[in-house]
Amino acid sequence: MSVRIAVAKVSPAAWLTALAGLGVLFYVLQQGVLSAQWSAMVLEIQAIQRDLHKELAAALRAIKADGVTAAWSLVFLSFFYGIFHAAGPGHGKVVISTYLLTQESQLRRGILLSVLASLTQGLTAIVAVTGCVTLLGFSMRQAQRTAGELETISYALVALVGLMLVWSRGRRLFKRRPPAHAHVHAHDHGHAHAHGHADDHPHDHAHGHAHDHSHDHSHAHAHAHDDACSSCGHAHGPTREELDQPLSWRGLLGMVASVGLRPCSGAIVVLLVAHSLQLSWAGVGAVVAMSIGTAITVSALATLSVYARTTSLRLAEMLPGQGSRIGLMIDIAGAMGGVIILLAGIMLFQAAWTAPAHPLM
Amino acid sequence: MMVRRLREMGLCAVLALALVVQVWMAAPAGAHPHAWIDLRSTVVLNKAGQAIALEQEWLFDDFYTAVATEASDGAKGKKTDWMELAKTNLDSLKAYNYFTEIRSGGEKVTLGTVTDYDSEVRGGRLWMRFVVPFESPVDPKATDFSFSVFDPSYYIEILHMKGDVVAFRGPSATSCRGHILTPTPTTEMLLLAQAIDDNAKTNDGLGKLFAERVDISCR
Repeated sequence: MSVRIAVAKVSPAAWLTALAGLGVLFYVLQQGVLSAQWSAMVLEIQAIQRDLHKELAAALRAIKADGVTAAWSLVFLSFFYGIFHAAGPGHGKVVISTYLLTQESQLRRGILLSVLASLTQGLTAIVAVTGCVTLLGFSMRQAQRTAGELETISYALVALVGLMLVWSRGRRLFKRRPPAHAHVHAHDHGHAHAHGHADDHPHDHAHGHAHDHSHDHSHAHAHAHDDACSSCGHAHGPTREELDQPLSWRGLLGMVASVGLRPCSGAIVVLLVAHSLQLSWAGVGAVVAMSIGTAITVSALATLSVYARTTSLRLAEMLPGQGSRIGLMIDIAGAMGGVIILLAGIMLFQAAWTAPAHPLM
Repeated sequence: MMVRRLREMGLCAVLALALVVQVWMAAPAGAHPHAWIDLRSTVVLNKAGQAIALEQEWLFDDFYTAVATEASDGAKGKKTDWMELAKTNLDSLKAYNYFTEIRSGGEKVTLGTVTDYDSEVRGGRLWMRFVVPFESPVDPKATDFSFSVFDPSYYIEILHMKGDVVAFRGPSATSCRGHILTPTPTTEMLLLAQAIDDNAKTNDGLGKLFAERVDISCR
C-alpha cells in the first residue's frame, strides 16, 4: 500500500527536478571523465590567470603613474582574478564541497558559507600583511612566510571541524541503532502514532510533536523525518526538516573559520606589491574585489553541491518502499563526509607541516 | 524489504556519483602557480657537436620581483645585491637539479653544479642567467635528447615566451633545432598527480604535467 501512495504523491515537478539534476550530473561526469575537454579547460584557466596576474602588476604601476583614476582597472582585474583563481582547483573548495554534499541541504546556507569563507580569506590576507609589514616591520619575505604559517593552522582547524562532524553524526548513528534493530516492534508502534497525526494535522504539526518527545534536538530531527515524512509517503526531501539545525550552524561557522584562515597567496602578493608602491589602500581594494570574485565562483560550486545532495535525497525519497532508513542514510553520509574532511585536514596539515620551504621563497 | 534495499542502493549510488563529481572537479587540488618565469634556453655544444650544458635565462614576474627585491621594481638594489640573491637561489635550487630535467636515451642525465651565473633587474623584473653543466656530454646526433624546466610543486610556472626558439651555441650550432612541445596533460594524468600530490612524498608532482618539453635534433 505504501508503495502506491509514495508513487502517487510524487509531483511531476519533483520528477522533472530529479531528472534535470541527474542530467546535470551526467553532463558534468562526461565532461570530467570521458573527454579531454576538462584538462583543456584547466590549462585555459591557468593561462587566463597568468595573463590577469601580469595585468594586475601593470595596473598597480598605472595607479602609481596616473593616480586614482587608474584604480578602477585594478579593482576590475582583481575581481576577475578572484573568479578565475577560484575556478582553478583548491583544497578549500574540496573541503567546502564535501561538507555541503554530506551535511547541508539548504542552498541559502551553502551560499552563505561560500561567501563568508571567501570574504574571510580576503580579510585574513589584509590583516596578516598589514599587521606584519606595517605594525611589526617584517620584510616582505617574512610576511609571506608568516602568511604561510596561517595555512598550516587552517588545515589543523579543518581536521578539527571534520572531527566534530564525525563525533556528532556518529553519536546520532549510535543512538539510532537500538530501535532500528532490537526493538522493531516498538518502533513500528510509534511509527503508526506519528502517521495518524500526520494525516489529521498539517505537516509541521507532526514535526512539533516528534520534537517534544525526543531526547535531543538532532535526534528529534531524525525521528521526525523517519516517522512523519517517510511513512506518510510525501515527497518532501529532508530539506525543510533540516532548517535551523544547530549542528549546521556550528558546522558552517567552523568551516568559515577553518577555510577562511588560509589567506590566498595571490592576495598576499598583491598586498605586498601595493605596499611596496606605497599604495596599500589600492591593495586592500584589490583584495576585497578579489574576494567577491572568489565568492561568486565558490557559490556556484556550492550550489552544485547542495543541488546534487538534494536531488539524490529526493530521488531516494521517490523510490518506492517504506524507506524508514533514509534518515539513517543521511547520518551515514554525514559521518562519512566528516571522515573525509578529517582525513583531508590531517593530510593537508601534515603536508604543510613537513613540506620543505620552496627553494625560491 | 527488497524495495527498501533498492531505495538505499539508489541513494548510495547517487551520493557516490555526486562525490565523485566533486572530487573530479576539485582535482588536481593544491598547488597552482603563484609566480611565473619567462624562460629562454640555449644548448651549449662542444667541438664534437655534443651537448655539454644548458644555459637558462629566467625573467621573474613583477610580483616575485617585488617580494624578492623588497621593492616595487628593484629600484633600491645594486648589482651586487642581485648577484647575492642569485647565489642564494641557485644554492637552494641545487637540491632540485635547478628545476631542470635532461633526458637522453630514456635516462635522466646527471647534472653538475652551476658556477657560471649572472643576475640583474631588467625592465623592472628580476633576471637571472645560469649554466647547468652535464656530468657527461650527450650526443644529440646519436641519441634522442630532450629537456624540461619546471618547478615540481608547480608553485612557479616556467614557460618559454610565446614564439621563442631554443638557441644553440658552439661550432655545430646551426645543424641543431629545438622543438618546444606545450604541455597536454590528460585527465587521467591530472588525477594521478592529485593522488601523488596528496601523499606529498614525491618530487615529480603536478609541475611536471604542466611542463614544456623541448626535443632537440641535430644533423
